[in-house]
Amino acid sequence: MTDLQIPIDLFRWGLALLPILVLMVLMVVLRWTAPQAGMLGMFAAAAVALFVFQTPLETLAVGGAKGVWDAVFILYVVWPALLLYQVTDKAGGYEALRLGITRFSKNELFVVLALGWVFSSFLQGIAGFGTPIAVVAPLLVAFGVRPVYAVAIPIIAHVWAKFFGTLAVGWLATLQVVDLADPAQVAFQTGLLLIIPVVLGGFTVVWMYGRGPALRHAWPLVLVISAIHGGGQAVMTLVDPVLSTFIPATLALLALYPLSRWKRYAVMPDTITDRPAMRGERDDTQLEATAPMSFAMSFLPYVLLTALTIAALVIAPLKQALGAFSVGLPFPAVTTGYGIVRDAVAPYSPFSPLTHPGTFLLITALITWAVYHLRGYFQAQSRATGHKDDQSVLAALFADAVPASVPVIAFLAMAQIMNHSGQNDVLALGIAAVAPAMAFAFLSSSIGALGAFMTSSSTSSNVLFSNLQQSVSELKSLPEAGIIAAQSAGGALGNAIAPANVVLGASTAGISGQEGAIIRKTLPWTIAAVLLTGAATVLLVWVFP
Amino acid sequence: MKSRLFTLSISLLLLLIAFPLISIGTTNGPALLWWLGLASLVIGGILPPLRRVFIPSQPMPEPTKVGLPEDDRVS
Repeated sequence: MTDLQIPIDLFRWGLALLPILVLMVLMVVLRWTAPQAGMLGMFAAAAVALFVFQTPLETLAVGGAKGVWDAVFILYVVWPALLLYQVTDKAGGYEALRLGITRFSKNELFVVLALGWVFSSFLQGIAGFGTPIAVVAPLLVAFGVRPVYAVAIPIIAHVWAKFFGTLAVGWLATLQVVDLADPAQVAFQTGLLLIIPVVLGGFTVVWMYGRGPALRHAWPLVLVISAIHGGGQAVMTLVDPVLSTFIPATLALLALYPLSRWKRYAVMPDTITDRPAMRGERDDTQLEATAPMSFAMSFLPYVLLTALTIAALVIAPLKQALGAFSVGLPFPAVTTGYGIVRDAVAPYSPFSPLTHPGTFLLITALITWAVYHLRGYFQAQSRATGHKDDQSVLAALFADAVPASVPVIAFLAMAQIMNHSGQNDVLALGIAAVAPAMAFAFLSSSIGALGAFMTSSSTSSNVLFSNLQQSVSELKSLPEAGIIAAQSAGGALGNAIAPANVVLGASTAGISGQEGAIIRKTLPWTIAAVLLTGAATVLLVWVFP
Repeated sequence: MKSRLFTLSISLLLLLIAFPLISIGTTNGPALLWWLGLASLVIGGILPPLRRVFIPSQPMPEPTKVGLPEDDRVS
């Protein structure tokens, strides 16, 4: 941290906090959309920088421009991920996956877990955004789950996959905003903390379904899937964080078939008589639909993506050759009236597109499109849906990706402006002055959860708060890895009560207006998960000092 | 909805253009370039909130499979 000449007092600390408060009020209280609120947050940060933190316009411009460049790393995952999603969806790939899962077993609880937990986590691994909730909540309603539970179940069950999901977009964003001393250790410790929501999520879904008797019936299944999801993710962070959710989430989906052959889960046991999550009736029209492709063919993009990414990772000469090409632009040294200096860089944060996960996603999407096109899946799916969804793949991509791109830039530009003007330093020093080290360690995941509650995004939470968490950990002599891991895990957990998720779920399940009832289901879970993560963080910083 | 997408597309374009203008302008000059970049950043940034102020909200369209039309977060 730069030697600060800024007086640290409540007035300046409060003003440094103002951009975050502006964002929170606009998004949570006034329900502004992310591009609108994000941009006003950015302007609030710029105004505080200009008028209170003595930041020249040139420094503001450099900070803002670096934020735009940081966003390119994330947008290059977002756009190809959405392209792959649209290609698969319009060819009926997700329909084939869904039908395959629902036909696995006659055990109702097995299917609720398979759809609500395993399938929603798989969707988060590749697509992210609101897809797991938007796709799974209506499926559960059709399967006979009460709508409030049909929304609460995927919300709770998929948050473990938020941070490393969408090919680790949250992780890549974190690497853009903080300079980590040991990124591998941060990724691994985040993976360890995320085992908590995996296990807690699985058992909560079972509890919601049928209380104690359901727990006694399903605990082996929950433990097996938890081992694949949570254990797999923690281990994969040591190999490649980019694939650390995608691979275990895909393996768990594949494991459903052998698990469905397990005699214990072949039929429903008589012991589960009280099923509060179920309506007792179901809409079989969605369940009896047909898909244009086989279950195996729907896996094509994920096999391709894994093969491409692993090839580029393990074939050293290929990795070296692809990584040799990078682009970036320089920036001069900039300063503020309070002596905050950001050094000249040439170039700033060079971008290697050929080794970036976005390229693997893009190639996968293009090959998948070609194969599905040649086999006529797009036409078949269009006929099957009665041409209800006739928007082209590219039009659908633009409609989803443009609105998602603007707030990414806004949050990153805001974070860089706060960083270049010294607002982050003042916030960190203020917290460090009053909070004991272990109390801060315990609360660091709550800060991450607050960020996700504000923005409905674990990526945005890390963009906003990672820098602050890193600075406080440095000031309190706490290990950086444990604190950033807690921020990242907290950022995932906060999604369970994030307004955008709850509103989305209520809307897709046809119960708009019942958002309060959904939050009453997800809030106790979130509080328990955050408290457990806080305790685990204290343990983590003690074990890995 | 279409005009909202149009506004956001213009906003995105202006924000992206700001990066090279500010980099080149602040590193090698002329200064006019980074001033243009800053203007591009400000105009690109102000468009989404301005749209909210000047165009009254319309009924919410149906949710897509990726989320609500007004649901603009990233993962």
